[in-house]
Amino acid sequence: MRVAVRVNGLTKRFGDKTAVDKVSFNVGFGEVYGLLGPNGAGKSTLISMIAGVIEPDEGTIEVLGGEVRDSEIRAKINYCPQNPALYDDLTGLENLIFYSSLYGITGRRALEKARELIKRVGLEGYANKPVKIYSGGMKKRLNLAAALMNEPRLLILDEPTTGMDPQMRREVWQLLSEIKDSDRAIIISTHYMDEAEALSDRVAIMDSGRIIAEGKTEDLKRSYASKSVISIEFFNPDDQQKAREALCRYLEPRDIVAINGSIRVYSEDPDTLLPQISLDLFKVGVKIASIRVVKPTLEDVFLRLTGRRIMEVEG
Amino acid sequence: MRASAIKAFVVKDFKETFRDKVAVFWMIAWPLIWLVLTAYIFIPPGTDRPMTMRIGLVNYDVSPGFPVNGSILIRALEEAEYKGVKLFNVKIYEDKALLLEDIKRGRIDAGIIIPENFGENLTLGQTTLEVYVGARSIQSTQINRYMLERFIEEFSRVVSEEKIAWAMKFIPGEYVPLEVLEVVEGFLRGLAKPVNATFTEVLPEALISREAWIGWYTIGAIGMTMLYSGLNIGSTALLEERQRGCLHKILASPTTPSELIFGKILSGILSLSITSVAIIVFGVFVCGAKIHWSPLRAEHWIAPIMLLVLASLTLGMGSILSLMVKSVGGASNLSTSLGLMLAFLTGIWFPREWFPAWMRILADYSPATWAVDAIRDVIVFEAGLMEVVHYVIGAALAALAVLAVGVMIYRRMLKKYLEK
Ligand SMILES: Nc1ncnc2c1ncn2[C@@H]1O[C@H](COP(=O)(O)OP(=O)(O)OP(=O)(O)O)[C@@H](O)[C@H]1O
Ligand SMILES: [Mg+2]
Repeated sequence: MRVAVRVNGLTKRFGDKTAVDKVSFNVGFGEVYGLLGPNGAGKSTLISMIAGVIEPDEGTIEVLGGEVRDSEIRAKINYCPQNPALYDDLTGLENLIFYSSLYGITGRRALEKARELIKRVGLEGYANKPVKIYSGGMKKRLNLAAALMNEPRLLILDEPTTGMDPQMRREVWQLLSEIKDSDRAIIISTHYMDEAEALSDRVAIMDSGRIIAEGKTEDLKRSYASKSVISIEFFNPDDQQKAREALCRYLEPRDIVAINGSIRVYSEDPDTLLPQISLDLFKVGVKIASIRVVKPTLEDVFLRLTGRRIMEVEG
Repeated sequence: MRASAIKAFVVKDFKETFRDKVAVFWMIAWPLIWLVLTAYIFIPPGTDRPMTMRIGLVNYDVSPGFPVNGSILIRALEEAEYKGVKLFNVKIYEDKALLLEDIKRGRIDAGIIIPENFGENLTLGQTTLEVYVGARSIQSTQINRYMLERFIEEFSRVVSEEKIAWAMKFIPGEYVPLEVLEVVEGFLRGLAKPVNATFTEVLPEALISREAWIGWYTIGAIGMTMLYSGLNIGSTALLEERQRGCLHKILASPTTPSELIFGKILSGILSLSITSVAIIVFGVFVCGAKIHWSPLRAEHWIAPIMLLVLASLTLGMGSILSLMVKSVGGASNLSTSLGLMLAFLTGIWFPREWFPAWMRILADYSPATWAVDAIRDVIVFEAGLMEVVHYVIGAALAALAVLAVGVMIYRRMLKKYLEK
């Protein structure tokens, strides 16, 4: 793997709060690296340090073989901040051209590229309208287009699809998979597990400033979840605790996670376990609303590692 | 530094500023409103012309047989002029009561009652005039009364001369020697007017025509606008980019701090220059300001140079101000109030001659005022280079120093922003 980004022992503190805590990882060319974590996990802080817009307290970052504060390196990267960085009184086209001028892309070349990208993100009708009339989702799309103007070799995206409708999110995924290239590295932060799964070659799961697990999606699920998950829902939410106690008698407590009134049981052999669970719960008088076997997701990885959910599933 | 990056900031800021209604109001509309108000309310057209007094007359004199009578007085009043402007606007009344009524109502400034036998008495001895002066304000009363006194004195003198000439005819020449006659006539003339004074009007340097005054205020409007707009632009330049979230995106690009700072200062100077040109054009073509500018006159180039100096100075002052504020809103409010206050207190908008001596010190040591006064002296009062050179050098040095401090502050701010 040719390394595009090498992060080592990166730490950032804001007062007493350690936003990023000794984080290390590498990203290779041709790779999409996902940073998955709940609100406040430290994704934006980490990404801002890699983009060179905030300075770390400790640790080192090597980007494209150099130092990120070096202008020549920065000419080859681009950064899409979480909150759209746009000028409300300028049109969509003017915003893109302004940012591309900062990369030395001007005149006809800039105009053509801006037109092409505006089309790619579905804003044709709005190219010459001031950004102040754009909706939140439209601003996010323009913000993404701005980050593509210089065809960066390292693209850093901070929650690029947050606030977009599901269809638009899928179109952005499509766009990102199209620009994926053996000579380009992409770092993307998200709190959507489906987004992380759909886009990333490797995922780092972040919580409280640390990377708590890292690897290919399948490997992560295999190591931290199980082959299958038995998901049980109850008629009476009060039964959740009772069911958990019953199951703990013969299952490992760490394989049982109670969440939002339901229970998830991690198992390598669901076919034999499912009938047994149904029977045992019936015996203790728990009324089951549904019981099914599902595939584990990254959410399950996070659940098993932290006992918490990343966020409410959207869409 | 890359020109493309600097140009990007200038173009972007220009579009942003002039598409923002609030900015356009403060940078263009507001100074123009002030200028019009000043030109038409505080220095209304006609301020620099001689005043004409409205005067009422009742003529009770019915002695047409005498060489001087009431009609002659009236004609003399109507013909009196100063610098080609009639001194009196005469209105004839039927009786005294009506005349007094109009003085009370302010319709006329003064009234004269010409009594019965005015001509006869005047010819043969002495007569009396009843003069009423409207006492609206102490100063107008003083002026009106003085004008009438002067007129009546002059009228008396002319009549005296007539009477002397007339009297001399009655002295029989064959009995009195000619030398004695000359002495008598000289003596009589001396009685009529013992002192002959000559009056010459000397134009003081400070006598300012209305057009020049408007020119003075036009440059003042530029100074005032530059103060609050320059402070505003200077204090919000980086803060606004940061508050909008665009600063991180800019810092992530290859843009260097120097390019960003230089671009920002240049865009500020451009906006302020556009404002200045708009104010000058408006002042000259709408308000009638007298401003001389010719590219062929070397000293006239002081004006654009001083405008640049003033812009740099106020932008630099703005950057210093940004140390004291936390938000764009706070910076704008502070800049506007501070800018207006400075304009009023340092002799930029109000002439410092109006100030008490202790207050003038502020104006005397304000580099912004030096720049504004240098421009005024050169293009409004046609001063030469040597007369303003001390202002020019002082303002330029101050601007350089303040701008250098400003750039340092910006650099430090950017560094701090990188920490969080
Ligand atoms: N400038 C700052 N000053 C103080 N604390 C900060 C600052 N920026 C971030 N933090 C804190 O650092 C932690 C990590 O924040 P960060 O924005 O990196 O999280 P995130 O994973 O991007 O969250 P989200 O999904 O909400 O965007 C949070 O607790 C946040 O409150
Ligand atoms: Mg974030």
